[in-house]
Amino acid sequence: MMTTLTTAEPILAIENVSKSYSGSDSASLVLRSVDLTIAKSEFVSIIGPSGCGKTTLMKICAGLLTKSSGTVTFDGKLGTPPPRKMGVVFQSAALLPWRTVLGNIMLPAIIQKADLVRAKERAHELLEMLNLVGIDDKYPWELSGGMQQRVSIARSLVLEPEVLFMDEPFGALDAMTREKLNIDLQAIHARTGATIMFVTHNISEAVFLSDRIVAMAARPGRIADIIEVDLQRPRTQNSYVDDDFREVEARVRTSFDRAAAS
Amino acid sequence: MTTDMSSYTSDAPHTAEPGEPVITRRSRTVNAILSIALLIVVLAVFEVISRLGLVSTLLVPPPTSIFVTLVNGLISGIYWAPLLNSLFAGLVGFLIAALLGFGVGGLLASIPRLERIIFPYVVAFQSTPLIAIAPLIIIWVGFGIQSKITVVVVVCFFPILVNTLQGLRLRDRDRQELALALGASRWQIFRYIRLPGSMPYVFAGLHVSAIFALLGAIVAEFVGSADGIGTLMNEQRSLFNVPGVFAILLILMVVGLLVNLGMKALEKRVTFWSREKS
Repeated sequence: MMTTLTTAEPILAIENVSKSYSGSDSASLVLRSVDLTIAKSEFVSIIGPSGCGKTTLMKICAGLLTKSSGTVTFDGKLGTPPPRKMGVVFQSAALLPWRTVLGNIMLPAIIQKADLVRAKERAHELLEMLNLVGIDDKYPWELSGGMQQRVSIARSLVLEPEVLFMDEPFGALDAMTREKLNIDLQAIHARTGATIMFVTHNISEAVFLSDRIVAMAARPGRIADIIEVDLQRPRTQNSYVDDDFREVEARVRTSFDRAAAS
Repeated sequence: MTTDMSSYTSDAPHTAEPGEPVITRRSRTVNAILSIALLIVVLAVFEVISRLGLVSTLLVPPPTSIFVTLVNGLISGIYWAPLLNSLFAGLVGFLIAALLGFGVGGLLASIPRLERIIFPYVVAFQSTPLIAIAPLIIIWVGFGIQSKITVVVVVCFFPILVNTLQGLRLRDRDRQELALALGASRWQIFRYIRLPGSMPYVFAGLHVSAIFALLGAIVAEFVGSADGIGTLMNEQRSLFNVPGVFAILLILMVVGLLVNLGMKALEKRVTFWSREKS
């Protein structure tokens, strides 16, 4: 069992972060003074209606978008995590079709000029962890959408990152595949101890995976509520029908609806 | 070109689209037989027209006499040296144009400002039937093989340049974001993402240019050259040896087909990952 409390050592802190596109009127304000601290090994989901800036917030934390004001602190130092220490999983798998599965997984190690022997070992571990054994030499377009997303998760983990940013990674998958991947992701989280920031608009997915859920509201994008999820781990497929689970789910739904209505 | 490289999210990437005609092996054999039958019928019609004297055999020689001329010529070996000469000029010119076109394309793509300044001229030249410059080049460079190579370079360069530019200019948002997340340098983005991504375009340009190379060499020879298969064809024409002209045309047809097949095979090997979507 891992430590899931906010009192644990913080690894990522966002303070007073705002983001607006061209112009300072309130209409172009995407994020308004967001504060959030994420602890080491914590799994935090960001949830909210479309247009609430949840992806924008994640991308600012990952250094993929610039912020208009405020600060991001990683591991005690001002700034976003260096590429070496973070992994990003996008909504689309974004695999390179001319590289094999293994070639795609190795890409971060090649770009970061990491120890390739070590990375290759790690890649094989990940292939096993993600039920991808025996497809090293296949090409992305030979795989189903769910398999492609597994490969992209393996790619994000090959450098053993401290933080993992995931932007609706299972949004395009069917419910069955999504549930399977949620279980695998939970196992990976437990095994690697990585801190995970997970953007989704699926409430039960957020409850299943998270230690904490951040509900955001739109216009302007801001944090509306933060819900602690202190459910036993590991959670299983049966967890979805537990009373505790449903209670948390109901609480998140209330926050979500209130955020959507505001 | 209709290469789509954007998404691979289908759960069943290899099944045929519904409504796509199913081509069985049997219907393929039947089609092949029909193609050959068509050729035989057309040749037979020409043979009959020519033999009956409906048109002058001087203008339209019977196919059998063309065939005899071709076989005799192949046996006596009069075609080989000129053909090799032309092919050599075509190949050298093509390779130079490929290097130049790809190199200049890469340079322009990495300096967007320069590309914007030069691109109007690239479009202007691309739209000009550059083969028309052949007489000028013969005047400047002379009747040797150099002038042929120059003509080939000129006609092959622009298709390769334009396609390389088009391929390198592709900006896939997902891939750009990935590169940013991985902390890739400009060179790494080029080396690992943009360059391989441009290959289907580059190879489409090379394919077009390979045919242009043959065309360029022969036109240069028509305009004026001491040697080559086009020169030989010109000689046959001036001797009114129409079967001889047709025999050379047949050889050029075979060479063109081989070049086409070779380029297709190469293209398939290098850009196997880029599937054409109907």
